[in-house]
Amino acid sequence: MAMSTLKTPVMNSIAKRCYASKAAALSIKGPEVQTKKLPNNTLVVAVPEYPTKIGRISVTFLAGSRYEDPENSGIAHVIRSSAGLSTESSTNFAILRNLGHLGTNFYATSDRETITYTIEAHKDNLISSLKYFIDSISNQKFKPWELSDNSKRLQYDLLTIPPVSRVLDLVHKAAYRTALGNTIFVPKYNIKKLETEHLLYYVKQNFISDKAIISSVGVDLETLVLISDDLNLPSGNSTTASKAKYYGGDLRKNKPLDTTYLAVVGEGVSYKDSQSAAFAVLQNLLGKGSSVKWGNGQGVLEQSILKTNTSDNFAVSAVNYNYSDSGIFGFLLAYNGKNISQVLNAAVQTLKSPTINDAEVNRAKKQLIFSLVATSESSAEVLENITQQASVTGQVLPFEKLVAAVEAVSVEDVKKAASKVANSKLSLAGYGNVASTPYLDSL
Amino acid sequence: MSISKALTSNAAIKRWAYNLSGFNRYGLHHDDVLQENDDVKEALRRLPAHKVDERSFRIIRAMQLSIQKIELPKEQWTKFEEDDRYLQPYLEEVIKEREEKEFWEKNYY
Repeated sequence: MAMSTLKTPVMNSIAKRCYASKAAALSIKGPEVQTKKLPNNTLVVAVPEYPTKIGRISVTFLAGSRYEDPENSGIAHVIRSSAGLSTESSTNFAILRNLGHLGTNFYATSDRETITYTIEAHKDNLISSLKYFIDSISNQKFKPWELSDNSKRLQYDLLTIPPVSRVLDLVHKAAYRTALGNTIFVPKYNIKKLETEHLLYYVKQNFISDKAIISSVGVDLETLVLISDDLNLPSGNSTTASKAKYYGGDLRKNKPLDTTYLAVVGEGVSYKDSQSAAFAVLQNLLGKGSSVKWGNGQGVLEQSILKTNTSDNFAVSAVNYNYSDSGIFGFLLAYNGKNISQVLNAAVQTLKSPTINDAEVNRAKKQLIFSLVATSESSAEVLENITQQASVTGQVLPFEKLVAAVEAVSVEDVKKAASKVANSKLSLAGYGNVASTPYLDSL
Repeated sequence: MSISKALTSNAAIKRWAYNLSGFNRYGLHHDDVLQENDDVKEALRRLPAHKVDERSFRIIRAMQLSIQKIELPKEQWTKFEEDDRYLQPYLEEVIKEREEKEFWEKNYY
């Protein structure tokens, strides 16, 4: 989530400030981004001039878990897992074999906001792969026997979810309860319960042209417009997502693990918010683990825990999630030992009042800019970045503007971001060995 | 060729052949007496559960009748018009899928 972005009004002032002090700004020129809103309301984003032989195309729908109801909880996960099953005109076998034969990668990803189908192929093979790609997005059938065959894969999926993902999921639930609090993992009781009809209904409601974003790297805008025509998505009324409201709470799940996984967050900001760059800097300031192998993290969080002289193993990383209308900010702590409250208290104190000075802010900005530039140098990550920006803000800022926004963040901005988190009600989620984890009100 | 086609497409002849085959006297449907090869087994797996139950009931009833060496009363015989061939759509799909796989194995390996 290092790629937090800013919206235009703020951008303008920031850009101006940056251009004024050009010497300070790194001379980074990201790839050119073209965007277009089609007549059917689909947003098309392309990075055509990218030095790569691989063409990558994503079709994204605003249909992630936040659009689910309590009854069909986990349906976005089931739909993601069903990508590539038989469609109206091609069988599962044909899709797999033909794409495989062309050396094409096809995968589906989902998160709280979106479900994304991505295809990657050598540019020569991309066009022939598209037939199966388009078919398996817009003509899905979800045949009952294929779904029941697929349930094993879902169960396997659930078994291999790392505790870290579980605790982050739980902290969203604690923080938001509904909407963004919906779990992104299908509950076990729903695997068999969600059948063809449910999936078809959900797809009909959510896979519509108003909620679609088509993005690409190494493929030009005209091709994407053609794909939009071929997808021929219905133009239903997009159901307005229930707005995410931050509540804050305390959730924990005891599991037979040695380690305690804890996530503590306060209210952050949305992607569009003018403060999102400051929050991204704050995240790096608190630390995202060590960037040097076997070294201790340089983050303020890790240093503060080390000061407690704990002899037990721990790992800590700041987390910053920005969504279209809200966000959470905090840290993730894994701890293996007896005295969890000492470590947790130190971390929470740091989250509430971190040391913010010039040196730390500059270090954080350097790390953040590095990760932005590194992102701009991998076409897969560029695609992910532009897709995410387009889906949560409806527009895409090029990398140089993102970097400029980070450059413009001042110590005061970071302090303001930190105080926003400190003043909100915290949420705590625990997973694993949580028996001796203190509750929020006793911290 | 055209004569045999004319014969097989004639509904009256079809009905005559259907009644002659005899399984309808036990209340069976055409698709209850298919040879259970792999295609049919797969199609049966895909068939909705209530249809499988109905099929099982008809087969068990027919076996019971056969053991007792009796037939259903004539008004309960399956009529040619009422035989719905419930398995055919599934079976066709299974066969198509199998042929597709065979085509691939023949041409690409």
